[in-house]
Amino acid sequence: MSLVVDRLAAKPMHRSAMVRCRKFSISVVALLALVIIKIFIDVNYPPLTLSDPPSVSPEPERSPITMLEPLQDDEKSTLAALHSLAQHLRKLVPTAGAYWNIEQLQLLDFKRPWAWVCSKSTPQIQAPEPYTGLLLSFLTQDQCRNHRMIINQPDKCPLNKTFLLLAIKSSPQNFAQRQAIRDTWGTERSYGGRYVRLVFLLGTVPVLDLSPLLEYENSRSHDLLQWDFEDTFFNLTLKDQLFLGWARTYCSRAAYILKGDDDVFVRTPNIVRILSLLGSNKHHSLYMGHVVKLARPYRDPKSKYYIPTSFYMGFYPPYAGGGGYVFSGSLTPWLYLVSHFVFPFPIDDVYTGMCFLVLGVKPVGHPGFKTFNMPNKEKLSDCSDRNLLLVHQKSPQEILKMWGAESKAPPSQRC
Amino acid sequence: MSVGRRRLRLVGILMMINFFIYVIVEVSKSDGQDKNGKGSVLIPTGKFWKRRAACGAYWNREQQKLNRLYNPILNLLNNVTVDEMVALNATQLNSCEMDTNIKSEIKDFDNLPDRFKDFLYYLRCKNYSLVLDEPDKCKDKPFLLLAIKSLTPQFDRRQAIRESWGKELKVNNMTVVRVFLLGDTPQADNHPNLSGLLKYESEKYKDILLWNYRDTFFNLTLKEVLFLKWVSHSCPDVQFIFKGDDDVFVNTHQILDYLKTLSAEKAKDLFVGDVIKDAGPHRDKKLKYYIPESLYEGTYPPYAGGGGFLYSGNIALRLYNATSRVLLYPIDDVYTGMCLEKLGLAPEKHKGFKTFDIDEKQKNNICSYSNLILVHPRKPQEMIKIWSKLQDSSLNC
Repeated sequence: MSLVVDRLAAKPMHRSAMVRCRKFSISVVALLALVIIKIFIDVNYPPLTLSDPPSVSPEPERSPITMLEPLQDDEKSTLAALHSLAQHLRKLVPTAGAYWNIEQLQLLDFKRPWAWVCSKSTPQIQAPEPYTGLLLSFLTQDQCRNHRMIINQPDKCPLNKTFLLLAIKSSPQNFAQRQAIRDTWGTERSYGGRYVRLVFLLGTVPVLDLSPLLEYENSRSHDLLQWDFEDTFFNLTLKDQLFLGWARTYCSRAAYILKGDDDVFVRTPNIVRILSLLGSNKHHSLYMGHVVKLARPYRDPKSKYYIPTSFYMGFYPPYAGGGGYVFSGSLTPWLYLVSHFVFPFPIDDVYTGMCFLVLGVKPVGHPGFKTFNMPNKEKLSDCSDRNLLLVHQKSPQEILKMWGAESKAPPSQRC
Repeated sequence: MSVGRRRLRLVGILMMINFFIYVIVEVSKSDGQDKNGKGSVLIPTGKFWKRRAACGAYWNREQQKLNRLYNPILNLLNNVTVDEMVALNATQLNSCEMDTNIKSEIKDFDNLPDRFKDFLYYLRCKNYSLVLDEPDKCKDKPFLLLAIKSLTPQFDRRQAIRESWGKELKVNNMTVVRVFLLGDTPQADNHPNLSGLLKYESEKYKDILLWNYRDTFFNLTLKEVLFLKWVSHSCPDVQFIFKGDDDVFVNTHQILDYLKTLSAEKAKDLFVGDVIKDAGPHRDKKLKYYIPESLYEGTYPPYAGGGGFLYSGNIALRLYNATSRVLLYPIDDVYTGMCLEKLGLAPEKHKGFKTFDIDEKQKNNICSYSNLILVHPRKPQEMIKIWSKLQDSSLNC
């Protein structure tokens, strides 16, 4: 490289008038050399810029339990009896002017025949802001509950020998969740002569045609119940009502019913054992789960459970968390009928709590039901909680893993 | 010599000295910057080509070996051709045996998350077979093939795509066909057994390609390689391919309109998407995209975000060739970028690919969907709603 520089520098030396000035020429040569070096470095080695990659990216007082007589053939007198029982709700409902409260009080005063009526009416609600989304669709939809059944299981409970009926709220698209449950804690089998049966409760997904897949699924498993209504969060109360109507007809002799979500893990053998040990007084009036007392509605509009003050005022009744709870099968017809006098409420487990309140059946808390968020997701593989019966927010893979770990453990170490 | 001239000379010399000092300062500064920079610059010593810095990262080292193997000049020195060299090392290059030496190759191997261990144990294995195939999918030499990455349990997303933007159609002699790309969800990994349902779905809709590799995030790269292999075997005459996720909305008509405007020359080398440049691996262990320093060093080549990109069938064939020369990398879209780089190509940015969604306010305005190609993410029901609104002939945007 120095050769090149010399030659370049040599030309001006011959022609220039400053030949005499050696100092100057040396400085010019040095200068040119440095400039060339600088250019050479700049061109060949652009400064490396390692930029960071973009960042992707609570319970009001209640009268003691009234033992219910067996349901008579005369539905009218039963309804009259239930209507008088429903007056207990007055203690729950503050007279404040929220929409639900007003409607409920009217029901109790018998100004309206019953709650689930087939009439399309737009509710008049005095609210600072208009309702949007699911709550609005809950309010404006038809309160009918004679939705057509798309898939039925009329022979689900043969010979009325069902001990525990697992009724799992699912959505049409949750194929994996359902299969995980079938393959694990939901398997239809006998636990020492006590039969466990399984049904999944589905609505529909509008515009999305999943029916061929659902039909195939049902042809293999025979455990889907599907009604023709949109499967949304605020339609879970409707789903509950439709299920109670079904159970009253097709599985009326089930000793117990476990109603739960499709993302829960259940120790079915343990639940069967506990239920089989219950005394006869509890046998007919059980409502057991993770009991919440003195709860109030969520008032944060961003919450999934948001209920505006203009819709409901006051506390919620004591209720068992909807992730999973167990109740006596003999209560099914009562629960179904009592809902005539309880105005529909968008949150299903709260609504169920209201119905049980009217019937005078108090929820029993069991520490084994974990349906509300736990501070840390516990691992069950080490049997950290021997009393655990039901835990929620588990993926299909987690359910299979937990079940696998339990069934592989030697009997002495089982929980 | 006059006084004036002397002064002039003095001033001249002073200026020269100033300039001289400036240059020295500049040169030393830029030199200092280079030293402080993360990437060290090596001035060529002896050889005229740029030598890559010796890398400590496993992937880079193994890729360098692969480069040497495929280097025709180096092979010429040994009097062998590349093909002979590749054939010689074939068993080693495509080994599906568990690589037990890997522990000694990566210093912190035992501390790596399990997903990296699984990936590295079978790094060289691309030999997986089709469980569900659609060998006649392309018998009509389709104009556009829609290839959608999906997972077994996502039945609803697939159904929504079938009913909306993924409809197989034929307009003006242009055929659009659709396949979903799936891997295995084995019961050994505690996946629920949905094989019966999937088989039924495949028989009914004839659009499932299922391979017997484990369908994990890192194995999306395998999905890419195996798809390219499928294209070169079962769909070599396809003109264009859109490959994307199952949670995106795609305006298929917009794609067709765009493709029609292309010149033959541009169409041959087409590769467009939402291009990410100057990116590098994430080093935060909590991220899905985390890559440890011991695995990869350096930056990523320009690549199109994996949410969806559009390319020519011709490039697909060439890309498949390139996949044997690029070691599998755990992030699929980066891998595709690496393969493109091997071909001397780079993906081109297209404004229509909205991988990071559109303005919240514009989401409910149907006209904001009429000119875009892709938007991410959309739920199954949203896809159908947007699609049916776009089909409305009275739509005036």
